[in-house]
Amino acid sequence: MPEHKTQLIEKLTGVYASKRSYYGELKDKISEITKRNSQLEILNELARQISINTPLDQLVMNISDRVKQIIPFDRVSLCIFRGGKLYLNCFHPQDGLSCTGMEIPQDQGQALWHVGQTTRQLVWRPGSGLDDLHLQRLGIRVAVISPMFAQDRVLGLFVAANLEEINYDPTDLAFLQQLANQLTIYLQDRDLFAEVTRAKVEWENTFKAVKDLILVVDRKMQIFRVNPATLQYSGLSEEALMGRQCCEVICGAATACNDCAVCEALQTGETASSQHEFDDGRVMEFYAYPSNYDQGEPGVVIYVKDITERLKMQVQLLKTARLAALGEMSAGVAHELNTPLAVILGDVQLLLRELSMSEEKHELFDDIKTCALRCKQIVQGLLTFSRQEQYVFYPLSVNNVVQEALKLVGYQIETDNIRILTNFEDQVPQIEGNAQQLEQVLVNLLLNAKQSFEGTAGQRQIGVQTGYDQRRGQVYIRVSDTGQGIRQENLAQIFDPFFTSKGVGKGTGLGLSVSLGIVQTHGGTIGVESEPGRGSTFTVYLPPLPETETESA
Amino acid sequence: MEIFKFMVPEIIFGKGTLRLVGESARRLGATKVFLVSDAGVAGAGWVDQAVRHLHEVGLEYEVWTETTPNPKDHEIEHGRELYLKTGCDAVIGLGGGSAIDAAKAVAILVTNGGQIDDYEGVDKIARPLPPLICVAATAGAGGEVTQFTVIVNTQRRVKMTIGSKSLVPDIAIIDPLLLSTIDAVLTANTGMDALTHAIEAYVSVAATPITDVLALRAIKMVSSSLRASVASRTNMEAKTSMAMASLLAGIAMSNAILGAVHAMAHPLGGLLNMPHGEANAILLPHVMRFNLIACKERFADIAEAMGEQTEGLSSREAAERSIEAVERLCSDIGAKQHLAEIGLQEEHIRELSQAAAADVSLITNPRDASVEQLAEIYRAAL
Ligand SMILES: [Fe+2]
Repeated sequence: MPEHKTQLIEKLTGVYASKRSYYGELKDKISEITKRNSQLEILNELARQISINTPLDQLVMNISDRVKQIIPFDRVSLCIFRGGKLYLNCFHPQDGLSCTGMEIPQDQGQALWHVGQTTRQLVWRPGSGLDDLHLQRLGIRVAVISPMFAQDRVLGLFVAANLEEINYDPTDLAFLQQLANQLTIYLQDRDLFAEVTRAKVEWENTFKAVKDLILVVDRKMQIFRVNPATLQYSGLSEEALMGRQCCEVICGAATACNDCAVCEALQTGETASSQHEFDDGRVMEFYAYPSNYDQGEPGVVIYVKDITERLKMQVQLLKTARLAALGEMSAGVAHELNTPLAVILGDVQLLLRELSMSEEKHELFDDIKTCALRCKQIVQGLLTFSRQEQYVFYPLSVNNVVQEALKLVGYQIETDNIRILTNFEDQVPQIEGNAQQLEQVLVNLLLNAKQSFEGTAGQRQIGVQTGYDQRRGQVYIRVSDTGQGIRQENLAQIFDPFFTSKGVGKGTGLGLSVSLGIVQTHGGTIGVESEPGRGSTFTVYLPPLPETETESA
Repeated sequence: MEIFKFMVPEIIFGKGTLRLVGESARRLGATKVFLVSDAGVAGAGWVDQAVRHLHEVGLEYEVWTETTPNPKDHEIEHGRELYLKTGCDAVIGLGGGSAIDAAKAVAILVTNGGQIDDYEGVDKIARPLPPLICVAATAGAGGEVTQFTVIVNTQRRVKMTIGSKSLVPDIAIIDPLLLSTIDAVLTANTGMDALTHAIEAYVSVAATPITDVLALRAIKMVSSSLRASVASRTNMEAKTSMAMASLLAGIAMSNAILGAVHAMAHPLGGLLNMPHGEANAILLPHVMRFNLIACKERFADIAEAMGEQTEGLSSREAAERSIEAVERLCSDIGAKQHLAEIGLQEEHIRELSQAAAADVSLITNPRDASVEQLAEIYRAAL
């Protein structure tokens, strides 16, 4: 009987051909559905893990464990193309041969590169025509290489490999490709996410770094975003600030000011700026930048800068320039006056010597002499102020300076029924300076203090204090009185030459400006605080000697 | 055959068992039944009756009676479309050979897909068929219990035999009452088909003791009841006997397979649309004569089963008596004697012989037959 005949009879009457069973079919279907479900679960899980930002190697390990339950394989790996090269990005389990980040050159991984080029899934087996040393070395018998294809390029490869020969059915292969697709999305999303996060952090840091106030308000001028500087300024927590009116928080006003830049920006949609002086003297500059104006939900980014200090500095600069001009002029005048004044003085002294005291003219010449001396004093002051004179600087203690000054005028002050309270800091650092000049400054300040009691009743007390101001890093001498004080409007002018609040003839008006000049030659400054009716405090700040010299001294 | 498999469906036999068709379908989990029948059976009122029984048990149904004798591939295609469109989930075949073959073919396509040609041959069906119930409306074709269906490929003009265990119906219902509406000619033709099944199964190379018992019993019953059944529509005893004979022959043939008669009858149906039973009746004695030398004793057994006196005869003589008995039966029931009577011409023989040589039925024929030998037999039967 011919072979095929036997076979046909076998199939018709033999024991191996059977009626197809529904039970079997059902079981197959159920197991297929179960497998499908697992596959869906894995894909879902993957989709979820993308959003919670699991590290890639962790993700690949999780996938490997889950997928193994439905598709048999021994190893999974993920390779990434970067800059025309292929790198092993992660793999599971460890094998002692591979390491993360190792490059797989084209001649080593022909099968892998082939998939990268064809963008089509490949089931590779050793001896299938493509020599892949990389896979062969690992003892792989079957490898399903799925491309991770995005837009127009292959990002990488997802490889599921088996150490035993096995046949994968088409649904398994389709699933592995789906998995690769999902991983592609994961990779893209992750890169995007990192990029966005990085950009966000950068902006946040910028936002935080700015020391001026930055606020974002909506069209009702309600705050919805602020930087830390604003929190500090307002003294409120971020939660407390949200939804508050910016007028209230920044200006302390119930409604918007007339020329408010924020209002203007909201109305015009253009950048606006304005300046506001608050009751406490601070001056704030506002810049309002409309944002989202086109998108129907307009808001304004507000930049607020406290320019009080800057303005002060500008005024100071102007003053300095003015003083410099004045100083030069004064010096010129003083020089011109010096010679005739010397002649007047010399002549009048000659004349006085020749006249007897009883003579009527003697008194007149004496007056001339007194006035000429006074003129000489003024000229001397002017020359000092304009730094026309040179002095030698050496290390000294401010305590000594103060003590010398008190020796000169202390008695004079105390006889005027004024108490002097001293408080010297023993460890005060030495400074470099000229003792005579600084004594002159101190005498000036002390005499000013003494004069502040004129026409006042009440406590008559002058405090003299020395010390070291840690914050400024400067040595200071503070002279405070409980006298009449200086009116606010005068405070700005007291260091100007020829300015005096004293009656005509009682002061040269040069005392404080000359003092400031001396202190400035010493690299220091003079601060003043005053309250009319309660007294004034003048503080001379001077830089200390550099540390080492202090120690050696 | 030392190792074999024997397969039968669940069988419900007896007068009036048609009423169990609905309950049977329900039992198999059907909710909407695709009822395949033909115009003749429908005309006799059996389709209405079956539908009533389906309705009784609350089953929905779709009746399809487009099948013709020797069912064609395109008809099956329509059946499949209708089945799927109407959302049926079970198939009932009610009729003679054609309706049942068509029902089986539709059942293949609705769960396996593809074209019916895809399943030509043996054991090609991969997936289970929907629940399938076959109700025999003739006594002869046997499709209600067999693992076969035969469909005409209209392009190639050949009958494609499809054999698969999956084609054995889940339930076979044989109700002799249904035979009472069949005319004498069809009764004779289908009866001769049953006899051919029994004889071919008995001499088949795949015969087993089980099929032998069934086949011999079927031969005996046909020999004693066919004449009476042809003679009278109302002789229920003869009808019942023929129904049983057809059933036994069908089971024997499904498990022991056929032979050259069917191999040669199939091309006649495919090429000339010749009625299956008629072609079998004419070919049977000629094929028996050709096969005689392969198994004289078996043919002697057949002669005996047909009531011939064989005592004292040589085995050859006894065997030859079986051919005479068949010829006498054919003549008695008025069966045609020559293929020419039903349209065969000499020019067809070459193509027919080639087709017959390729038919699956030929493989279990006791004597190997070449194309030339098959042509000779056709010529002898012309
Ligand atoms: Fe038949």
